[in-house]
Amino acid sequence: MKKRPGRAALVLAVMVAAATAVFAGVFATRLSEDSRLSDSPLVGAPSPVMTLPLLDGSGEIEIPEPDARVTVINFFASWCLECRIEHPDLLAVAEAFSDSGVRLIQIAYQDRPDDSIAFMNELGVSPLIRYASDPGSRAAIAFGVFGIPETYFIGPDGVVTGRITGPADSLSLGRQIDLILGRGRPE
Amino acid sequence: MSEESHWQARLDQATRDLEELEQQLATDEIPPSTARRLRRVYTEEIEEARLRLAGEASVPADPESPDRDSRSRFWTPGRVTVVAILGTAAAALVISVGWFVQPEDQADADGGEFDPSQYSNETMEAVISANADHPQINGMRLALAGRYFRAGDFARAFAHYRGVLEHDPTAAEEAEALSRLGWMAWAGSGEVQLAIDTLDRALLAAPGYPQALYFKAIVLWCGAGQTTEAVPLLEEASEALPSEEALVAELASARAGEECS
Repeated sequence: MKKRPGRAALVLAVMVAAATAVFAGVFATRLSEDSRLSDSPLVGAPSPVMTLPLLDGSGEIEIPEPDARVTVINFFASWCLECRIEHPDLLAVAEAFSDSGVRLIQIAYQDRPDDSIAFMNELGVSPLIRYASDPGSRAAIAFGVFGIPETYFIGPDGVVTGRITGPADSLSLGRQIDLILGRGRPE
Repeated sequence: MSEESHWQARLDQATRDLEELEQQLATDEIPPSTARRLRRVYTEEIEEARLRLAGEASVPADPESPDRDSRSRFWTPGRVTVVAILGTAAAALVISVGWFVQPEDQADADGGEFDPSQYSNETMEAVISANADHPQINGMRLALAGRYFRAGDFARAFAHYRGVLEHDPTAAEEAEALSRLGWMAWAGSGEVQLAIDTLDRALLAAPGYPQALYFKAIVLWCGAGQTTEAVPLLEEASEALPSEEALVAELASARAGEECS
C-alpha cells in the first residue's frame, strides 16, 4: 500500500518534538532546583589566575586584579548585540564603585582586536575599566563561557561569587557587588 | 564570507532574535522594559543590515517570479504541520532554558518591587546614571536623595532632587523633592526667601503636603522670626503627623510665643 506523502515525516516530527519536550522539562526542572549560580561550577571556586594582554597592546593585566576588593569580569564582543545593551550599565557601575575597590575588566571574546576597539570607541570607554584580549580563548575556556555577554564576580579572596548570563543591568551588577562588599543597608 | 553574505547573516540573525523576543514577551518570560531595549537594538540592526544590503546586494527577486511559486508549492499542509510541531518543541526548549538562565536579579530589577534597603548608594547611583532619561527611576532618585539628605550631604541630595524635577515627576514626587530642596535652601545656605518660595511650590504641587507644611513653618519661625505665621502651619502638619513628638513639642513652643531653639 502506498503511504500518504509526508506521513513518515509527521511521525518523525512528533517523536522529535516529544523527545525535545521531555528534555526541556527535565532540564528546566533539574537545574532550577539550585540557585541561579549553580549553572557554573566556577561559582564558589577559586578564580582562574592568568595574565592577559590589554586590548590596545599597551601591557598586560592580571586576573583577578591583585589589589581589588571586587573584580568584575565581563566577556563581550563587537558582534554581540546584547553587549551593546549592557554597555552603559557597565560604565555606570565602574564610575559609581570607583572609590570602593571595585575593578571591571572587559575581555573580548572571539573578536578581532580592531573590531573590539572600534566597538568600545563607538559606545564609550572608561578609564576605570581595563580592556583585554583573549588569545586562544584561554580566559573564556577557563571561566567556562557559554555565550556572551557573561559576567563574573570575584571577591577579595579570589573566589568567584557569582555569574550573570545575558545582558547585565546596573541593578543586578550592583547587587552582586554589594553582596561581596557586605553592603545593602537598612533604611 | 563576502560582505553581502555577512550582512545577510546579520539580518537573518536579528530577524530571528526579534521574533523570539516577541514570543518571550508574550509568555511573560522577559519584562516589557527589557523587551523594549532589546527590540530597539534588534530593529536598528535590521535596518542597518537592510541598508547595507540595499547598497551592496543584488536586486531582490521579483515577487511574481516562478521562484515564488515553487516556494508556495513547498508549503503543503503536511509540511506546515511538521514545522509547527518542531517549532513548538523548539520553543519549549528555548523557554525552559531561558527561564533557567534568567538571572534572578535581572528579573527583580526590571519587574519586581524595588526595595532600596537592599542596595548601596553606589548601586543606586549606577542605576540612576544608566537610566538617566527614564522617569520611572524617580523612585530610586528620591530614595537615594533621601539617604544623602538624612546624612547631611546636601550637595548630592540636591543633584538627585533636581533630577526628579527634571524627569516628569508625579505630584507627590514633585512635592517631596521641592520640600527637601526648600529645606536645604534654608538649612544649607540660609536662603530664607528662596526656601519659602520653594516650599510654596511644593504645596502648590500637593496642597497640604505635611513635610512642606512643617518645613515652611520651621523656616518662618526659625529663619524669619514669624512665629505667629508658623503656628497654623505647625497645627496642620501635626494633624497629619500626630505621632511626630518633636513636631508636637515645637507646636507647643511656638504657640507659647517662644523663640525657635
